[in-house]
Amino acid sequence: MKRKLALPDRILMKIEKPARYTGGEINSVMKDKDQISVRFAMCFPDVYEIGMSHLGIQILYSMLNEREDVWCERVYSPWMDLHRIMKEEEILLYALESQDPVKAFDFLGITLQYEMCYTNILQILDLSGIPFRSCERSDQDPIVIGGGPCAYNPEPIAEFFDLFYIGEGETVYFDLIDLYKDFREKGKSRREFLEAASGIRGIYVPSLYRTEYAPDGTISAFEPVPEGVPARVSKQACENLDLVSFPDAPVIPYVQATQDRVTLEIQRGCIRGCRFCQAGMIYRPFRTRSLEFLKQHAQYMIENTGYEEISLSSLSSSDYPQLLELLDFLIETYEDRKVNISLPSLRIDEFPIDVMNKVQDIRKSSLTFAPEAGTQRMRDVINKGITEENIFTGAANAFSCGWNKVKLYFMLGLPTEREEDIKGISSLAERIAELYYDTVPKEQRKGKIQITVSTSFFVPKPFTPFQWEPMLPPEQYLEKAYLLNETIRTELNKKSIKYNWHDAKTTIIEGLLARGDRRISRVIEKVYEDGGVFDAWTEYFDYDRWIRALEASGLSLSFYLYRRRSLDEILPWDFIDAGPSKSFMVREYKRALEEKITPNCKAACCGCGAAAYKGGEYCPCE
Amino acid sequence: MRVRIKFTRNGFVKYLGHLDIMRTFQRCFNRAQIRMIYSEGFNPHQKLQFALPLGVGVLSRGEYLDAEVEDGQDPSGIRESLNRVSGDGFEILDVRILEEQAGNAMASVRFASYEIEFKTPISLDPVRYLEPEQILLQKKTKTGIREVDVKQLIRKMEMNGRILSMTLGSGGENSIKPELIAADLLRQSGLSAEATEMEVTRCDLYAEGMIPLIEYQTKTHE
Repeated sequence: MKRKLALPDRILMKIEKPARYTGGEINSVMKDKDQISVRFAMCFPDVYEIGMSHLGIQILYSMLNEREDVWCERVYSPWMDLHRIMKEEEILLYALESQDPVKAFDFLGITLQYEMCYTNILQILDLSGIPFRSCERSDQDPIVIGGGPCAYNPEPIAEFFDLFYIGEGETVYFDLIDLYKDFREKGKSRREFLEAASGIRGIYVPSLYRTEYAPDGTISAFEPVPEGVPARVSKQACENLDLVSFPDAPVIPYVQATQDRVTLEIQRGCIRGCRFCQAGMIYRPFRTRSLEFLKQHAQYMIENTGYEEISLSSLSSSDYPQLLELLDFLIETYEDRKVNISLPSLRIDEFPIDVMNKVQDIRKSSLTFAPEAGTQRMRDVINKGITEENIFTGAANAFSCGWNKVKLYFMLGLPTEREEDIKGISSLAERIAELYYDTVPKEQRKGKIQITVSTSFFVPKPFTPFQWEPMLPPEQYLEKAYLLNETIRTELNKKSIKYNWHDAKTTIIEGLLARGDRRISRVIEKVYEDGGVFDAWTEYFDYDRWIRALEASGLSLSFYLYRRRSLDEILPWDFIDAGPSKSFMVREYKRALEEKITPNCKAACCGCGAAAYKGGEYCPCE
Repeated sequence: MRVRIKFTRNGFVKYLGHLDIMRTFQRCFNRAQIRMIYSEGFNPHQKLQFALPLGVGVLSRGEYLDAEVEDGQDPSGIRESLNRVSGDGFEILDVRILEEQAGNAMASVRFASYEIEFKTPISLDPVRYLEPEQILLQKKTKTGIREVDVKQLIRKMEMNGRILSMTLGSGGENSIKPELIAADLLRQSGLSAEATEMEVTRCDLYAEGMIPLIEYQTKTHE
């Protein structure tokens, strides 16, 4: 049977990479429309190659399609060339599998992985012919759901969504779909469905809540309006990762994806508790998959895809308790088939030299470590939990294994940062370069040491101990980057150290969206109407457009970014229970300012509150 | 052991680029669990050689790929296993064992045959088009635009109803896209290629002596 295509040949032949839009990939799921009752469009609001690299969509796609009565399809952002044509010719956005318009679906789920995709949400709604605001939608429009890490502060985009799913998708999606089917059969309205959905744990229906503001602009009250709607929403987390649906046959893109490999998720959560890291907090408690489970499912995925690379995915892969056993198994099983193994998120203090020796003979590239800060004081403030000695031992190990390319990631603008902390980054890079020449005898060196230092500017995120911290104006961020650049230029090994820094203005807007409240939705809408889309792409990001929209909305960066929030202020995301408690955040914030470190979950439980979610590897038994 | 594989590119997979198709086949061999021979070195890869990459948007009933496999004794078995996993649009038509001394698919190509189907009735006169001594066309190359005499490259050209068939010299320097000739032919009849809807299909590739590539230096089935 020949699948129809939504776009005519005439259009497909004049756009970049037309295979982004034709679907039909290996392992994509086709169903008979007449045999199913719920149609779900799952969207990653960025271009196909980025969206197809995302594991979360593959998990939900596979899980939803396991149900016979549901057909889940995929949607990505059309690139600007097609965007213009679709607007011009009034072509509705469609899902890849059936090539049917998204507007005809029951649900449109949008994953929110980074703040800079917020204008793309409006692009998706606009091209789909769905009204931007939940309150403007009719019973004929799909129910628009948001999920993913940015849903932990849903407020800046609250108006655009009918509901948010807070937390891991494996727990209550089926309950939501069952409720929908039931209400549709009974002929109930959209509003009635949304009210009932707010009763499912983890589901937040923004239209049922009201925010009031004090004269100084801070939130004075946030509460549910109809009776019976819960005042707090608890994030969802799976108790046992071996028992949830697993994407054994992920969809394989024809167009090369950014991450073009099997992704094996070995664990969720992180034991480390770095104080800047939102993922490290909201994905608690730390849960692992069993070795047997991973062995079996790695095999399924490799067989079903034919990929020649497998990446072990987690926030910190060296913390997986049976990492060595797992790697041994993969190396032995796939040596003949030349499957590469990649191990992202390695910690420099746990650099598994024996492991890397095994993996490296298949492919050798650069090593990436993230010390995050240049001095011990600064690393203690952020609770990075590594010492200078750890860094040098790790680097020496890497050098003696044969690496001579090292990438180092740092942040500038961290709370309490001083000039010496910035200069410390330079001196750390210099001493690592010197260490290379001390460690590796001349005859064994394969060329010069190459160090790449990259800095991003720190963005305070909700549900981190730094959520109350101010940011700095872009000029001040740049001054820090220039200072570091100048300092590096004075080092002995300056020619071996390359330095890149992130765009300061993008950081500002990311910060605005990360901790914004409901009033920010007006700003996002204005930016989109002014032509803003693909803000995560430097070639399309326009800072001035954001500033104009902010001013036109009567809002200011100083309110959202440049002031220190007080500990008793009602934060827009306070109504969500993300696991670790607010009192834990306060405690950690104070310890940070005192430059005190907190042990990781494995060393000692610090009582963050996530243990209530059960299944945590190192959580105390009740 | 080297095998030659003939396959189609039908339907939406015509929108894939050449590199996409290469990756697709690498994974296809893996999913079919065919044991491949890999190149030496840091980054071993399957030894695959495609004949004459096809432009985006062109269909084909005659694409070719040479692959080195550990065990090629059962070509029809390879064909079946590949067809089980190849996905819509890629159908494996034939698999043959290459003779020891056989050249690779890319180097062996001399001619390619095409069909261009016009979506609306059209009147074209290929006989008259071929009358002049020379047919000079502008051809885009890596280094710039070059004028070539395509008359030498057109081995056959005829019109049947809405279908224009042609056999063109192909491979190496002597390649010309069929769309280019079709556009010139349309222009001669006072039509513009941009305004004419057509679908191009490559029918087959041939080695010297117009031997179809699948039969060239390959062993016949027992």
